[in-house]
Amino acid sequence: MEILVKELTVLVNIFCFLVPVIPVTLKIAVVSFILALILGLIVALMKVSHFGIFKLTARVYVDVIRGIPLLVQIFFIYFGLGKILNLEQLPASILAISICYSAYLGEIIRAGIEAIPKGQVDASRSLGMNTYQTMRYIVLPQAFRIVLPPISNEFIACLKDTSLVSIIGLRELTRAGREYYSQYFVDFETWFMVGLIYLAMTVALSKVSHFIETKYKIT
Amino acid sequence: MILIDNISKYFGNTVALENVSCEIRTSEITAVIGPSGGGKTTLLRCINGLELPDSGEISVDGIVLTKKTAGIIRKEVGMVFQQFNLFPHLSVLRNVTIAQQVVKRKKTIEAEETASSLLQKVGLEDKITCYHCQLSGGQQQRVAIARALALNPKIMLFDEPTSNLDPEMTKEVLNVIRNLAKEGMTMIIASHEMGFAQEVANKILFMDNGTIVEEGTPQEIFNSPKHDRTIRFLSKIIRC
Repeated sequence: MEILVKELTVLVNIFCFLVPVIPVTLKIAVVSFILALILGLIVALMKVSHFGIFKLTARVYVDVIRGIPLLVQIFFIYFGLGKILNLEQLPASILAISICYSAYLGEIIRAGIEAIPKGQVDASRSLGMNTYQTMRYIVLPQAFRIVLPPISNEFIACLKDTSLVSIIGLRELTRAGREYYSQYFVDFETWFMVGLIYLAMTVALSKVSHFIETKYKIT
Repeated sequence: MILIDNISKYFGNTVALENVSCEIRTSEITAVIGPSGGGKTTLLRCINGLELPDSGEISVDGIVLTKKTAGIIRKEVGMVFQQFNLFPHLSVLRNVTIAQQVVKRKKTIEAEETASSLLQKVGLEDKITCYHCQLSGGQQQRVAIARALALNPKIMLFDEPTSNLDPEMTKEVLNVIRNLAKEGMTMIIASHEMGFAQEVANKILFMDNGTIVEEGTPQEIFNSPKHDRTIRFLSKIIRC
């Protein structure tokens, strides 16, 4: 009984130590992901455009970014580019994650756009809508509903991948866990609690995405 | 008036249209008949600029169709498709208002008024809040007609509007088209409904292998076809 109480106290202590950095992790994930969505949409539109040069650029971009580990990209942006551009840890982290995820999201969004039947575009054009209007009002709203499940998957992956930026010294959840560990040397409890907090966040996120999916479903 | 001057269209090695010329006058109703794959659909898609001919020229009310003028021409020419192509993410009302708002920049209230009166005209005023999945094929096609009419086009193109419908629904859609005919709308209808073509059309075009094989009044085509191919096609249809 005494052991259990002691153990619980340790866990509560760790939890209290970690709580203040949860917003940091969330901030990196959300900001990076929004930027990645914007970039990804641009990549997808370039891929489906009729201009060869856009297509080629987007393809090379996706191949290069997708082919390099995120950790290496973080190093490159923080230690490489960061020296030249004088980037702090937070902007460097957000930049690295958003670029990395834009490549994946670009491919997902492109697949969504291509899944829309050609007849929809025909109908829209026959009503006098131009390419932009057709995309904006007809194709993208339908594509959005198709890509929602894979995109929420990516967001969950993105949230977990924020742990990688702990390595350049940004004090987010994983980094704070390491700090606690090096102070009190309780390894099992620390990493158990860190894992639990990530798990709680991702479970909550999948609930939210499920809710959005049902709301926007085309029956 | 639509002037089609010697147009040809190829998809790779396949001939879709070859040296097609014809003239469609205002308030005239033209029925395009012929076997599947004969070029009916491609001809209609060319008039709307959904496909640009590889050679030859199309002009609608004096405007020559090019990639640049296609947008202007489409505001004058409405099109109804075989597959209906309603926008599934939008309600029936929104399907009919969207182009008015986006293309013609009409105010919401104004667009909705036009839409409700058009939906009333096609007999669907009670369905305005529905989505396409809640409608039968015939109802979907009637919404599609209302949607095309919303831009107040001078010419309507119907690409086999009843090919995906059962006889009962076919009738409700044909009735809507019949009413448009009475109002003097210029129309080109690609169809397999021979009885209907005979009844409403002023002119029949018989197409096969991408060319207009024969052209004439319904009496001429149905009662005394001249060309072999037309005779063969019509005899098969009448027999079954």
